[in-house]
Amino acid sequence: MQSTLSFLFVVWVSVLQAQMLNGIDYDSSNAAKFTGIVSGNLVYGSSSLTNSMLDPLAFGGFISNQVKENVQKNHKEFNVIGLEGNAFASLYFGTKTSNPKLQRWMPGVKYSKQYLASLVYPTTLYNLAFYGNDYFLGKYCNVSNTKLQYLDFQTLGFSVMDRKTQSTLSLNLVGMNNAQNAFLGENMNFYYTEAGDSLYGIVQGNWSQSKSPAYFKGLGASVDMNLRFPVTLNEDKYTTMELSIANLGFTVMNDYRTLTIDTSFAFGGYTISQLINRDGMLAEGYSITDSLLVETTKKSKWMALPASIMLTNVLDLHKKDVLQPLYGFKMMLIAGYVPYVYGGLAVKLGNNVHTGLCASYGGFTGFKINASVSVHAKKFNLGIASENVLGLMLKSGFGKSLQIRLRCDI
Amino acid sequence: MKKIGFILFCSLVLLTSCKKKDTFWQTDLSAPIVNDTLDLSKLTADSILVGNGSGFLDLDFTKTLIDFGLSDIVSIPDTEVVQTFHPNFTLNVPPGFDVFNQIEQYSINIPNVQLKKIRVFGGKIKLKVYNPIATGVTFDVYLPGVEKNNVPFHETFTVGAGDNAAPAVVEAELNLAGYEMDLRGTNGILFNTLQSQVVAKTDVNGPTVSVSPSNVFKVEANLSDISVDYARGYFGQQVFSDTSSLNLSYLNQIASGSLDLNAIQLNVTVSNGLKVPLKSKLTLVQNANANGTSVNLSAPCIGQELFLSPATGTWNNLQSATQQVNINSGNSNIEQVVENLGSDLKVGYVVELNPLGNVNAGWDEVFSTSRVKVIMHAQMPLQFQADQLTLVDTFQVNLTQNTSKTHVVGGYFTLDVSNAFPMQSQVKMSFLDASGNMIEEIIGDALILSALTGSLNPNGLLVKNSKVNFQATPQLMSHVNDVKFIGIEAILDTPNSSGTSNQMVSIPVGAFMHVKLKAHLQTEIVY
Repeated sequence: MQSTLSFLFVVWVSVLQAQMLNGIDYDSSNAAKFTGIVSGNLVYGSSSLTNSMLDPLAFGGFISNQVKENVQKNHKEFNVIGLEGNAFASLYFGTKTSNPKLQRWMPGVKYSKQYLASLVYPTTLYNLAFYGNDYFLGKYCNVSNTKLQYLDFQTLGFSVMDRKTQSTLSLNLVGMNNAQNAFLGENMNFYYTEAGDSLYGIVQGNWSQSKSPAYFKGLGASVDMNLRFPVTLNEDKYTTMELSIANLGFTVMNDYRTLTIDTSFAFGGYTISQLINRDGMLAEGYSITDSLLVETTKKSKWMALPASIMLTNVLDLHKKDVLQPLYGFKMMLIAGYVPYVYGGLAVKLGNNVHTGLCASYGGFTGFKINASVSVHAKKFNLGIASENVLGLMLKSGFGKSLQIRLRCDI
Repeated sequence: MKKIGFILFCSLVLLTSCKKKDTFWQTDLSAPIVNDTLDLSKLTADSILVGNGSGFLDLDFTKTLIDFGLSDIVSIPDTEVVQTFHPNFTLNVPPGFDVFNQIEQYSINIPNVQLKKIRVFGGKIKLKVYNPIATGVTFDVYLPGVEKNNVPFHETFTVGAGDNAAPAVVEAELNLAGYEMDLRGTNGILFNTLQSQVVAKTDVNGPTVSVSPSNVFKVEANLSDISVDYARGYFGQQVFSDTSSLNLSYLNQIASGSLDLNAIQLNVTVSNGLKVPLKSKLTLVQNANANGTSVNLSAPCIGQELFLSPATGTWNNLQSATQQVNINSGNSNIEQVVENLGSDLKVGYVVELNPLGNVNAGWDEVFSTSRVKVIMHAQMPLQFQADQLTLVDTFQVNLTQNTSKTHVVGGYFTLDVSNAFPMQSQVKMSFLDASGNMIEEIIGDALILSALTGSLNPNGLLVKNSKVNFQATPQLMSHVNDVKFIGIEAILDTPNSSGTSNQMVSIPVGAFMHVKLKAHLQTEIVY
């Protein structure tokens, strides 16, 4: 129930911010007594699976043979499915001091709930999952180097915001709710004879997971930072850039268990005697994990969080220019994540409305179209964006993305 | 602010009321299930099938119907011997005085058997002596006629002083194994008779004491668990009779059809290892099948009395006397008895010792190696003709699947067979509910063909490969939770090579059937 509520929190609060929304430049003379920022980001995508398959996988429904065939054609040697979901809530408070140096800083708190998942897999794994092992009669089924990573964690930090630059720094405590890592080794191969009468396998891999019954299965610390700085373009032109570093930290997992397997097997069917007398593998109490020499190790483990680094330009809301450039870069240290770059234009539609349109490449998918709308009022700013606009509308898109960011200065 | 709170609340209710629908798709999974080679050694004991000179198998089956020996003929009951003595008048007894010296005889109760001599293989004697006088007494206990390696049985007990109210007691338990016992009594003309002698003497260093008629000296001897490995005497006209059942349970699986068999030879041999004359009689050979049809053997030997003379020699070179009766197609209806295909074969017999009474003047002898046996020996070529011979077997199963989770929606099973038997088979599978009602019947889409239509393998055996598919229909899979029994029916024929009619076939040495069963299942993955 807690995890469900946490997820819903992410979906609700988050349904949230794209990188494009990061670079909204609020008034640097901000003199608010209170600033609250709620943002969220839900992105899932794949290098090979289209929404016709991702949607039923995520939300339920039937995956037809036609969909399977169409998606199969998109597959390359290795493929990625990824999920990034997070929700942030930051509250900053003005200080009652006459010291102008101290007035510049707004202390605050920051809370986040984050889900990160990625699966890097070969095409054979897709074929095995959706066509079954019958597909591999007389062929090798090589699923080596498949990687799965899943993290579900919360952070609670003490933050400070620089009113002048809007830069922030947050030192966080990290509570890990769930962590799973799996890797199928360099030589994970199955062979099913063409006659279908024998199955051979080389099984090599490991699967680690947090098994502690505690709510927080690991505790740690992290640093989040948004640093804004001017960059001079020429003598009278400059732009503001923002360097964001998130989840730079670690957790120490307690009761972190790793199942390791490195064996081979051959199976050609039971004898009739075994079937009748329930002998061998059919015997009561027979342990398949024991027979496959699965080793279980249990220990505490230091685990680095999947840190991300992002560099974007910041949109100047006070500029009278109708068009402003938008560009940025992001990298996250999680398997299968490709360096993400975007570039495009922001259009000023009025004094209070900006919209942006970009092309991007990277992350868990390939090329995408990004779009954003940002509405500004005196004390509020609301932005909605998507990193994958086509994905929101088309079955042929490679995922979906939606971001919301709400800022309130009182 | 209230509006914002209301919107947040509505959003939360909306989101928490959402429930992910099932994701599902269909995939094809397959796996080998059975890989085995069947031959006749897996149906029955190897030793009953032997190759003949023509490269085919003969059925060579031997069963011992009766086997009895000495322990079945002679049983020595546990026996208690109590010998007492008391003087008729009061006297003063000086030290070293023989209080009494007395021999007595005791009869051992062995109905219908008159034993003159036995040798004890196992057993024990427990001796207990009571001294009622006020000085020590030495008891010498003898069992006349009982000796081991020519040394008579003798035990001495020294018992301390006692009195009438609390006599002094000494007891001991001795092993009797290896003792020979002459049971003919003191004059040598009796049987089943055990003697005992007790000599009691007062302590040579003790006082003179007064012994009165009230002082009772007593010796108890208990023989128990006596078994013998030799007996001589007259063993009476004991009768041993029984009806042995031979259960061939796999024949119960024959539901219909017929089997034609040839050249059956059945021999019944009686051997007498006792040095006792005896008479035997075969009273019954009967086959009953699952349909309740019984066929009795009709042959001259049924009811015929066979007299066997005593064995000759001694325990280590005993020569049994034997008699044999031969039963075959020419002198009996043995083929009809066997072709009744019943699982229950009954054989009745009677054996009687000394049918003419005590003609050996009580000189019957039985050794530890002496046995009386009635042995049935059947021999026939494993040659038959099957006409729609239908074998049925039913297995209890518990198949469950939840259609809201990953489940099988259909598919088929493939049976690959390499058949070296000269018969063909059609296979059907019946899926039955708990009440035995048919849910679905699946008939293999092809026959398992006879080896006679195949080609020679490297071992010189004709082998025919067949592939039979069994469809697991969606209809069946939708009711699979109701399936509680699976019946497998095989209809066997022995066609000639052109397949026009059935013929008599012989089973070659090394005949086998290699089976591989594979499943190809259309599976709906649900999560």
